[in-house]
Amino acid sequence: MDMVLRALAIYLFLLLIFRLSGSRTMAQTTPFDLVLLLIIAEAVQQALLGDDFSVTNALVLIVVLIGADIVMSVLKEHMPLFEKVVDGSR
Amino acid sequence: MTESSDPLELRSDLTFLRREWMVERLGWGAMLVLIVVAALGLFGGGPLSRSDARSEDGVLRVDYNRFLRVTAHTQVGIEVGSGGVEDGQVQLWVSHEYLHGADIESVLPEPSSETTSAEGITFTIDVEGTAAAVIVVEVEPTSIGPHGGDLGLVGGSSVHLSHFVYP
Repeated sequence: MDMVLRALAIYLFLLLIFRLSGSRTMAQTTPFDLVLLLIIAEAVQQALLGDDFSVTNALVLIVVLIGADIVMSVLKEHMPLFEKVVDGSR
Repeated sequence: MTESSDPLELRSDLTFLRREWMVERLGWGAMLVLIVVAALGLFGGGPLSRSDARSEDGVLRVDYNRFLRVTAHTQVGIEVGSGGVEDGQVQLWVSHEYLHGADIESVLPEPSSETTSAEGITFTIDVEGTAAAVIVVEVEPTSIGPHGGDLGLVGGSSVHLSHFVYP
């Protein structure tokens, strides 16, 4: 149960944080942004895996994250307001 | 250049595409089922996985997870009724069959002595008072597949624990 909840919590939190940080122009990453990305990836990996290095854990986490992504894209397709909030108006 | 009725000369095969979309939708359904089943604990840690083993005389009660993942620690909670406490001590044994394929990371409280015999390893744990004693053993499975073994009190009742360890 907590595998699934942890993956969802981290996905939603990262989405929120990156959206709030205003880095919509991801194409213009400076070296500092790259460093930040690398360190965040490390922190996230620790939070998601903990001491559990099983293949099953990794697979379930990946399915949960991809599933969350699919849900987001379906919601964005059907609700333009949602798309604006999540992606920004471009 | 091949003759084509399509003015844009797209090489799309609509039948294949439609089949592909159907497979995709089925895949999404499968993913949803997987997520629900994982949340319920089929791969460890949830209502489907939590199990309870009791000895025949009711002195021993063990809470454990039926489904485990290799390298993921799990806690086995052992409750020993007052009938199992002798001279302020509980003598808990774990069979070699159980230990073959799982590492015991810790026994809480720390046993005052550990001895090994042909049947298994015996932990002697000090108990205060006469009420039921709760012992928590942290186990790390190291081999994949079905895994089980006996656990019990020396000279008393025992229970059989069975797990399935996912890779």
